[in-house]
This record gives sequence, structure tokens and C-alpha cells, in this order.
Amino acid sequence: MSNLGEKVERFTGGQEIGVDVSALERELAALWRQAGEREHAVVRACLWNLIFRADGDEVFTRAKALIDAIAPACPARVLVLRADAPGGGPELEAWISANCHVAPGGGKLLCSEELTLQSRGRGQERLPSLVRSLLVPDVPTALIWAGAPPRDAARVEPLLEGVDRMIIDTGDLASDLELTNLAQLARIAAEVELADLGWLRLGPVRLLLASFFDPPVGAEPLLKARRVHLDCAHHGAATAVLLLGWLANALDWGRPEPLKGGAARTWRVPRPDGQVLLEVGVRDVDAGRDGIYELLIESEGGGRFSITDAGPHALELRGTGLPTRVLAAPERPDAELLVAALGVRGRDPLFCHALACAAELEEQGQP
Amino acid sequence: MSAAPNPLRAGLHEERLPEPCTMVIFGASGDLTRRKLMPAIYSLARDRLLPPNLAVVGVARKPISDPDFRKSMRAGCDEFARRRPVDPQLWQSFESGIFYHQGDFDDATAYERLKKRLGEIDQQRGIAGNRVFYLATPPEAFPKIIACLGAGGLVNRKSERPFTRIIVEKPFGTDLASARALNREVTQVADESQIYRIDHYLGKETVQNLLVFRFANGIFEPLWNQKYVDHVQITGAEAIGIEGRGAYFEHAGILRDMVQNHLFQIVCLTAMEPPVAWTADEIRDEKVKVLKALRHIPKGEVETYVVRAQYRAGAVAGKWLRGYHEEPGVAPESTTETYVGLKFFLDNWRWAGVPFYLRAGKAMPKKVTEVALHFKAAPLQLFREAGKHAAEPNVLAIRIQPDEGIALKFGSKVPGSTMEIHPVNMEFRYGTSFGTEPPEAYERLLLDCMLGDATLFIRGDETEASWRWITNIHQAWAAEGPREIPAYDAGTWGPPEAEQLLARDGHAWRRP
Repeated sequence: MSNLGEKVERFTGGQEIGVDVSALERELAALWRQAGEREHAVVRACLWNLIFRADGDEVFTRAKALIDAIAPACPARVLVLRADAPGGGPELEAWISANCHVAPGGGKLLCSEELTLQSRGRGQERLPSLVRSLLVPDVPTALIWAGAPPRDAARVEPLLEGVDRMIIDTGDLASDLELTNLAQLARIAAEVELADLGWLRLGPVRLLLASFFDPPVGAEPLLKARRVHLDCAHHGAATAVLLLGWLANALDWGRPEPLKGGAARTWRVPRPDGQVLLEVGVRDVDAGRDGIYELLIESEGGGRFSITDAGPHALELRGTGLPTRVLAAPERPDAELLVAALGVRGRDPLFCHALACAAELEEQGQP
Repeated sequence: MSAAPNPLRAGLHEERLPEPCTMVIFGASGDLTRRKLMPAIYSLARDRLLPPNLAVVGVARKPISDPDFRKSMRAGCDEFARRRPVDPQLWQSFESGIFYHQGDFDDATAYERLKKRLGEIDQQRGIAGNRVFYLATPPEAFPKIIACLGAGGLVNRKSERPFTRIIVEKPFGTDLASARALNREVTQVADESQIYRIDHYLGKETVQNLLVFRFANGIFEPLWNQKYVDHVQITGAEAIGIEGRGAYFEHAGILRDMVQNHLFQIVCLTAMEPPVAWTADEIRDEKVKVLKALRHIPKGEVETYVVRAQYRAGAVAGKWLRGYHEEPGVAPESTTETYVGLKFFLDNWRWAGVPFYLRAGKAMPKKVTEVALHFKAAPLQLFREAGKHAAEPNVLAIRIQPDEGIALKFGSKVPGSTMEIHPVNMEFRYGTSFGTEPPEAYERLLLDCMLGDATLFIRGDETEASWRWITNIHQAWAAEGPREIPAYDAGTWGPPEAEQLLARDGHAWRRP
């Protein structure tokens, strides 16, 4: 077998092949041409340019696994960028590989491309221009920031040129205080659609909470809420505040005022005809990936509505005037959330409104 | 009770999540419920597209307990759901919303008991009285069920909240008179806006993509008319025979079974004008106009425009298939058509003079449904010497099933020093571009009905317009009296008479 033939075998088998950075497209074209001449048909497909920014060993490994998982559902040219390549070596290095699987209906091998670009030192400054030269024309581009969303918007800006959608995961935020940075990023990147896997993860809880206030109960207890309490694990603190941001936006609550004392973080917010007390208690609980253990709303008339983690993948719903129910709530894998974020659900204006309100809570709550 | 709208619902609509409701399926012990409906509802739940407190109540004559009904539905989902294997945890929660109600369809007390039971389920599941009634019974039972639902006070007529919707399975009538009668009966009980006449073809992604292809892209629509299109071919072929359903098929025939509903829907979507808005009624208005533009076949000329035939024994894709007359339940003197080839015109501005050829058949070489637009040839043939393919027309083929996609045939120069032209295909395939399996047609349609979106359902006047044209053919055949009809071998594309139907115009059927 020729050297190129062997390369093709490794390439379509998903192995990474080191290539000269300046000849990436040429190398790719040669490999695809060769792959197309083999016995089994190979089809290339591309719906998106996906730029994954993944720094650090753990985040990089997770991002690679996520890319493998979404490949069957989202054929794309994937560019994986790592700005802190380990060990010594050139400022920029590149690898290419193919993500292949049997197309629905069988027969053909459906492939998309993955290009990994690692930089060291000043090589990082060259990454954005390299990325721009490698984007497939006429398909949309998404920047996926793997791991904790960036604190500094300046790190993101050079990569945003030509990007249609940016995807983050607030579930990876180290602290709820970083929601403020994120809201700032949202303002800077106002032209880019901002999607959040953490927000999508919250979808079922938002839906169940909303369902309490359909008829026959109606919206009255919600409009007359006097206390909203959220219990969460440490990793769920940012998500909890985001959830409060959603409620604040939907219910048109006024400017929050932080209250001191007590174990929980507390705010008082005005609402039409009254006030609402908002509380976020952080404690050591096993609360699943979203980190929310319990959400409770108390109303002026004595109504109580709660959603509580009821063990693995189950939620208990209790509401005044309603039967108590335990519902299955299987966790959605990150790959499924990412595919959703690349679809229409990734264009949710509610998220930006909720984020802005959550950031306001944080800003008011800063010491 | 508060009348204020639920502010937390704002913005959640993007996720197309319906309000909690109870779906009541009449004919719940039948095959459709086990193979299609329940697996579709489960897959929707698995995709988190349904409210968690949705309830499903199966209604049928057989005495079955709730647990046994759930067990049978689980088996159906295990075998037929798109999302397999069934998630045991999700099923546990899902099946808590499945119930069974025993009753005869014409027994008024059964409806009284049903009403009471639905009220209890509302209480138990936190449902505000929203109902979808699904008529998955043999069509003879439709009028009885609809009348009893009305008399039993189970239909909240015209009311927005709580909503009542009625899904009626095909066939909606067997001719113009019966369709009109059924429409009258249904609209005595419910408003037209509450009736969802289902044709599962409209739930197929590629059928919907016909509209997207035409109206979301600027380059095709200018060519989509009599100026550029030479003729249109529509094929709905099935590789199977009637598979023991002789008793049913003898009364139906392929014209009723496939053409009046599925294929006419495809004709409508292919030929309609752009709707003024993307709403159910605007789209259906345009579809009705297409059906109204179908040129009437004059008395005595049916044979010029319609070819009918029956399949003989033969081999389909290497497997032996017995002939139609050898099927149980088929009368020896039967003239029921298993194949029909049609030529028709749409007398409107866009399609004036463009022949549409449509064929539908059982026991064809393969299963395929497609629409093919054959374009007119280039006005001047510059490449006469460039081989026999030089003058082949461009063909745009839209494959509905299987292997859904779109292909454009055009001529290309064969590499080399001579001017030789060969046809090539530029193809788009759903599977290879999107990499994901589309939802089943029933999933889309059930969800749309729960959401109150009737776009992909058929309106009463649409049914009547299609039956009017089809009934004309049936009447002409009936007037001919008993006679032998052409035959074709199973595993072939139909009888020679069907080839002649096109050959007379200088055309030939495509090989899909």
C-alpha cells in the first residue's frame, strides 16, 4: 500500500495525521480524493463550521469526546483550537482527521472533517487568521467555548469575526459572580447569537415550573409570589441565579436589593403590588448536572409550588391544589444539548434577557 | 381561577410544546395504535416534545385492563418506536399517563362513562380539560363516534380553552357523496377548525420540503411553470402486493387507496401557487385551487387519460409474488385496479398545457415515491454532434421516499479532446447532509394537532374537490360495465398501455 493509501486508511479511521500548517487544505483535498477512489463510497457533508476553543488537558479531552459524539448528527468542518499546547515545539501545529460513520439507511460512509490547531507562545496570535482561512464558505459558523466561559471578552473578540453563533456552558462557571462577565460578553458580541448549554439543560425545569400556573391554577399565585427559594449544589450557583433572572424578566420584577445575613444569598425585589424575597442557598447536595436541588415559590395567598430533585433522573412536583407527582427527568447528554444549541433552540432571546437580569442580581449583590 | 395568561409560558413556544391534554384514541386495540400512534407519542415524549402530564386513553370494544393495555403498548413501542430501545425510566413515567376505556362505539353510556373518566384523569394529571379525539377505527364507525361525542357533551365546540380537536384517519369517504355526507356529520358536532383530517404523507419531511424547496429558494420558482416545464411525472410505487387484504382492496382500488389522498397531496404541493402567508388556511386555499383546476375528463374519454391494470404473478426484487387474482378475498371477475396511470392537465395560468403524468401501483419493481419535473430542451441545439445525450432534457427529481432527496440531471462535457456530452446528476440526500433520522410522519402530525396547527391536515373542501375528480373516473368505469382490464407482471413498471399513454405525447416514464 502506498504511503498515501495508508494515510487515507488512518484518516477515515478517525486517526489524527500531523500536517504542515501551511498546506492544510491541500492535504485534506488529497486525502478526500484518494478516499473517494476506494471500494466503499465516502460522502463528505458539512452543515456548519464549528470552532471549538478548548484550553487545558481536561477541557481539551472533553471537547474531543463531545465532537465525536455530535458527528453523526451534525456533519461539520470542526476546528479545535488549543492555545496552551503542552511541551515544547513549534508555535503552531496542525492535525487532521475524519469523523466517519455509516449514513442513515446504510451503505455509504458519511464523513466530516476535524482539524486540530495547537499553539504555543505567540502562536496564539496567529490562530484567528488561520481559522478564517480554513472556514468552509456558505455554511454558518459557530464558536463553541469548551469549559468555563471566558472571563475576559478580549480573549474572544478576535475569534468572533464571521461567527454566527457562540455557544457557552454556564454550567461550567466556577462562580455565579461570573454571570456579570458573561452579560458583558453578550453585550460586546451583540451581533452574534449567544446560546448556552446550561440554559438548555434548564429547559425541563422551566417547563415544569410554567406548567404549575396553567389552568386550573392560573397565573395569580405567580403574580403574587412573596418568596422564591433555590437550593443548589456548589456547581449550580450560577444556574440558580440564571433561573432567578428568567423569573425576574418574565414577571417584570424591579431593581433587586441585596440583603445581608443568613446562610442564603438574599435579595428583595419589588413587583407590582408587593415585594418578593429571592434566596439562593448553596450546600453539599447531589443535584445532577444542572446543580439545582429544589425550587420553591410561595405566594401571598398561602400557595406553595416546588420542584425537588427526587433521586437519579427524577423530579417531585408539589403544588397547592394539585396532586403530587414524581416525573422522570433523564439528563440530556451534552452532545444532545450542543446539537440543540446549533438548531432553533440556540436562538432563544429569553436567554439573553434572563442573563441580563441575573447579572443585575449579581451586580447588586457584589460586596 | 385566574384569567391572566401564564407569563412563564412566554417564549417557551419556540420549543413547540403543547399544552397538557388527553389524547383519546378510538380503535385502540387495532394495529394503527400499536404500530404507529403509541410509538409516535412515546418518541415525542422521548424527545421531550410533550408535556409530562399528557394522558392517552385508548377506547375499544375489547375488555382490557389498564395494566394489560400498557403492556401491549410497551410491546408496540419496543418494536416500532423510532427511539429504541424504550427507556425503562421514561416509560415508567410515560405509562402512568396511559389508560384504557372499554365501550361500544355506538353505546351512549360508554360516552357518559368516558366523560366521567376523563374528568378524573384531568384532576389526577393536572389537565385543564383539553382533548384530542383520534378516530383510528374502520371508517364505518366515524359517523357513530362523532355523533356520540357530540351528544355526550364531549366536544367543546369552537371554544379556545379548553380545546377539543378531532383527528379523522383516512379514508375520508369513498366517493364524493360519502365525503360530503361525512363532512356534514362532522361539522354538525364540531367546527371545521377543530377537524384534523389526517394523511400521513403530509407528515413526511420530504413532502414538507417540497414547499421549502419551492418557496424558500429564489432560483427554482421562476422556472416552475409552463414556460420552462415540459411535463411532470409523479410516481407512487409499492413493491408489495395487497398482502392478504383482498377484502379491503376489492372495495378500494389503487385510485382510492393512493391517488385520491397521498398522490393528490403531492400534486397540490408541487403545483400550488405561493400562499400569501404561512398559515393553515392560506396554504390549504392554494391546494384547493389546484384541485379545482384539474381538467374534467369528458364522458367517453376516460381511456384516453386513464390506464388501469392488475398485477399477475411475478418476481419482485427476486421474490415470488402471487397474482392479484390469487389473493384471498379477491373475486374471480374482479376489475379492481392495482395500477393506475393518469394523464391530466391543470387549467390555470401557471400550468396551462403542461401534461402531468401520474402512476401508482402495487407489485412494482421497488418502493418509491417521487416527483420529476422534465424541463423543456434548450431552444437551439448547438451540440448535435455531441452524442445521443446532447439533447436530453434537464430533470429535477424530488424523491419523497425512500432515500429522500433531490437530484438535478444536466448534461456535462465528457473529459477529452472531443465534444461529447453525458448526463450527470447533482444530488442532495437528506441522510447524508443532515446525518440524522427524521421523525416519523405520525410524530409530526400528532404534535401539530396538539399544538393546534392544521397546516399539514386536509380541509373539508379539499377532500371534496379531490373526490369530485376521482369519482368521475369511477363513474366512467362503472358505466363501462364488466370488462377485462390490462395486466402486468409483478415486478414490472406496469402494462404496455401505460407506456403508450406517454408515448402518444412523445414522452416516456422515468425509471425511478
